[in-house]
Amino acid sequence: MHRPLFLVTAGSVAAGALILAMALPAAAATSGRADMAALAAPAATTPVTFEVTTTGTLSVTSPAGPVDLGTGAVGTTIGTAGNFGAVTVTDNRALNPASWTATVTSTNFVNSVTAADIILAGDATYLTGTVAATPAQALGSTAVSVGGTGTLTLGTGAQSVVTETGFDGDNSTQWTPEIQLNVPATAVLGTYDATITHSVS
Amino acid sequence: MRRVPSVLVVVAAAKTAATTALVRRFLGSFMLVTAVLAVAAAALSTALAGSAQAASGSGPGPARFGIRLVDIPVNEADNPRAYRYIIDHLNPGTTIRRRVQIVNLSATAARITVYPDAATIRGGYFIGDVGQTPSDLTTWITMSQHSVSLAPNAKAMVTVTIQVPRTASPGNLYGVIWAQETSLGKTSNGINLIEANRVGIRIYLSVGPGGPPPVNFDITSITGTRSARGQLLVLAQVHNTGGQAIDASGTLKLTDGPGGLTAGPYQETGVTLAPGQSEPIKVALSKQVPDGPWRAQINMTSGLTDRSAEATIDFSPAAGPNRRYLIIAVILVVLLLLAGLAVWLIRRNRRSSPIPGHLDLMPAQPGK
Repeated sequence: MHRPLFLVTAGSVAAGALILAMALPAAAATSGRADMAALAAPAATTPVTFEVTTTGTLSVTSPAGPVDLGTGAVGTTIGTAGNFGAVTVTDNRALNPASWTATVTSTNFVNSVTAADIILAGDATYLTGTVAATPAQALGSTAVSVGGTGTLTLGTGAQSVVTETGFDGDNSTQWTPEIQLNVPATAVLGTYDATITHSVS
Repeated sequence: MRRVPSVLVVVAAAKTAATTALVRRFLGSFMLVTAVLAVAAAALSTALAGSAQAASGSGPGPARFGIRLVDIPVNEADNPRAYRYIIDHLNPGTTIRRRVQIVNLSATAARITVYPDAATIRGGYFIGDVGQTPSDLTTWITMSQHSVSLAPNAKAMVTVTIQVPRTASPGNLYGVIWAQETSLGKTSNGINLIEANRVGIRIYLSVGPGGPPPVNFDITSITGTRSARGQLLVLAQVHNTGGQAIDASGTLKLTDGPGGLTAGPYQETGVTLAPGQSEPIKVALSKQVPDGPWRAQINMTSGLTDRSAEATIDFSPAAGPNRRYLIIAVILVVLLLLAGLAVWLIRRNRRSSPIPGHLDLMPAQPGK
């Protein structure tokens, strides 16, 4: 969609740089790469770049607000389907291939009164749930793939949850994860805080 | 081909308990989920008629924020990967500047932090490290701004400067420039989750004297399998044999099938590999595809580098490892039977033929 524009821009900038480099032989004191850099920017060591004129971005939903998982007795599991709210990744960069990976990490759950009391991130489970993609993908297609089997034990390390590699051009993918927390039998009563981060690149 | 109704976007965005409760993970049938969602969506769109979130999939949709790479090196103008990621080979002592644009795509103001982070390539994925993990690369990066406050639908340019020290060792370095938004406030009781979402531009940097290391990869094997549930899967092993990281993806085509059938092209899962790494890519096929044999042709592209491979594959269980196990099992059973027979025969022989010399030791009976 936007690609021809990129290429035209790229080509014209490259051509312009070449013409200028030839027109200014005095500047040819150092290497050719540095010449072009000198024209492009004051810093003599900066290789020349061109600007892509598009408005499309890779974007993710803004976090809606803190999520209250609810309360539960020790030794029980807290969690309701889709309790974390929807995560939508939209790729409007008009690229081919347009691919991205979404990962998730969690901090430990820290008691808000006595910070020494924690529930480990590994006591929480991430259930990806149904993943819906636009454009729709053929049933069984691997354009959008789900990490693990849709169920991940959360941890303080990053794990991939949803990966899109199959679409060319603009696309959008949504899923509504559920966070389940197995409250350990040894947990201290109180309010716990954790940060769950989705990263898309 | 199955079309997902665009109202799904609205349903997903509305975040109501009613919707999420409906999307139970154990609803096995996708058909059923779609039908239930469609009904819920109809109810929701009536309920949210006046709300900004009730826009259709092509409208504003949920509040979001995005990032894009603005500056591309002229010598990478033909490389599609260079439009997505900061990709460069730099000699020690070089400085580059790349701008990224941060966009607030919501109806409310947003404060977005921007920072560099370390990253690793493992298991076929490019994974940004947790939080703001420092690395050699991140210490070389300076950001023109560390956070931007953006009005609704406003944009901001942030310049990323990467200054490779003269003493830098040669090698490949990975990182991400993240734009992050974090939910504010907290709930008063129970388990409180702070939500942080970030979206980023990957950095693939190769550092060393001279020109860039070569980009090269091989498809080392192609196999077809049928899972226990009957799902057909083609697996191809991809090996990065070059000196730079690759993001390879492509298509699979099946030809010369039963009765001259052809199938595909099918989209593959992509794979990100550091030099020396090897990981499989998967292609899922519908159960209707006949067992074969098929001629499988795989094409993969990373940036400007294309590779293809061909192999004959077969999905029939008889051609798989199952048959080999069966043969091994039969051989084992036959061997066991033979061994048993041999032992039985030896024992029988011992019983029927007296031990030599045994009779000699018998006392001679007089009168015989």
